[in-house]
Amino acid sequence: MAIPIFDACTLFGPWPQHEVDLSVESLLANMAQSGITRSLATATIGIFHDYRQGNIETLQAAKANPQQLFPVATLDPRAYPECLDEAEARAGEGFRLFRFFPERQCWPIRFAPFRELLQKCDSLGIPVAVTVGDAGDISALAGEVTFTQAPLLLAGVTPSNLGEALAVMKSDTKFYLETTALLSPGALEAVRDIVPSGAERLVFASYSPLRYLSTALGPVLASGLSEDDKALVLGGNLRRLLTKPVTNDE
Amino acid sequence: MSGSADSSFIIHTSSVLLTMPLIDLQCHFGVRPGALAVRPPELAAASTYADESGVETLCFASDEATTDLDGGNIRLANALGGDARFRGWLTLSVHQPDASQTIARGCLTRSRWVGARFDQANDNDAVSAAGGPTVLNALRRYGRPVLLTVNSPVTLHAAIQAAREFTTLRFLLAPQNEETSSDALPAMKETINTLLLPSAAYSERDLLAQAIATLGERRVLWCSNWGRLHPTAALGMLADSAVNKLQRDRIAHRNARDLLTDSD
Repeated sequence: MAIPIFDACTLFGPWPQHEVDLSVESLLANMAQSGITRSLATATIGIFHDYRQGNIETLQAAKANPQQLFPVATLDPRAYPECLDEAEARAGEGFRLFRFFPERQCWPIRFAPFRELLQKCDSLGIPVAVTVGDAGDISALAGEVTFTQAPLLLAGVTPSNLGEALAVMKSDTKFYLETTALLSPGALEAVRDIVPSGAERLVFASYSPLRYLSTALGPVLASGLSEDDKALVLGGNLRRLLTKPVTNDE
Repeated sequence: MSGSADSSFIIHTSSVLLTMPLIDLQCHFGVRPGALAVRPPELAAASTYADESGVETLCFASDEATTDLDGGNIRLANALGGDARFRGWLTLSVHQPDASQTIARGCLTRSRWVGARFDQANDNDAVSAAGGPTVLNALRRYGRPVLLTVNSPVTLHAAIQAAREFTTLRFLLAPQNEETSSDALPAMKETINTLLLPSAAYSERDLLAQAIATLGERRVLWCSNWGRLHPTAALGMLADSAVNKLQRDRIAHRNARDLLTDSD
């Protein structure tokens, strides 16, 4: 029996940087071609233009394709304090994860509205994913979430800031790590070996159809992880992360 | 995990790739200062990769040579002797024009070296900087291709301008981020002695198909960035691209073969 791959990040909608077909149809075709059974989907309009409109479109796409797409909301702390209400409303509608794109939206990790929004997400028990591409971002984020409990997914980590991710993940078990940009040989193995329960904290995310799906998938499948660990990375960890009850003893 | 998921991926890519010869135009030798949390693989692993993936030629560049021009290139030269399929990019510097010309004189007449490489890591390293035209002018006598990394609009523009000024040289442009990858296509279009060498790490879908539509199928090349990236990443990009079999063969092999043959 083939393992069902569960993708932590897919996108649909317009992409301002260049011409690319990011329609829902393209996303679904891409998933089917590569054996991705389910994915967490986000509307790009919510990243670049209006997060509320994006969340509406995401919910519509997920309702139209309930077997394949789970909705992920974008929250934009620049819309404080309204973003706090948006978080509460979207949590009630079944959104499974909240994503933040500080680098695309040009706001810093150390940002009072973001700090309050993270606390709100934590109180709602919804995991969050934050893009942390620059040196210092992960450390700054760790400082902002010292007292939260909900799982936190580090997105956009590359071999250049992997060391910083390893240091934070070693000391705080709520951090998880997307595999998308960890394309270097040995990167996934380093997480497995250095971080407590490392293989259980890696989450496959392709960002397809914006990115080549096989580019993200190949290094996971060809890595030195065991077959059981690969199954966790390709879906098991994400499934557990989304259903994990938030408790104070973590 | 059952073996089925692995198998389906292998079938998915192998249907395209296993019968296809490959020339890997950029691999990396040694430590990369920007990614020290991950140790680079041993060079013997490159031979294994070549055996398993059917790679005819692997062209290595030394990151160390961007810091130590002499020592880095010498250590790369010594490593290239380990496998007959290995060739090298000679790293030169616009900041050291005299040393670069001396090194080029000693190396670029030898078949071990594919051509010259300049790491335009930031705008100060652009080949339009003070020593750049001097070194490029000196490279004309060898007829070898020139590989330029491009990181920004400034370095992209510098690369295009260099290609327009030195029309007898062929310039491989290797974008180092998504924005530059996308911007490179229209910028390169009219400058026919430029060729695109995309990285899977910085290529959004479907850069290869767009490159062929914009530049034509003879001006798009392939590399894995072995040493920095797992080669399956670049093989995956090749497999997922909406290009036909002949175009894929051109990207993965024929264009590089022609380039290497012409420069020998």
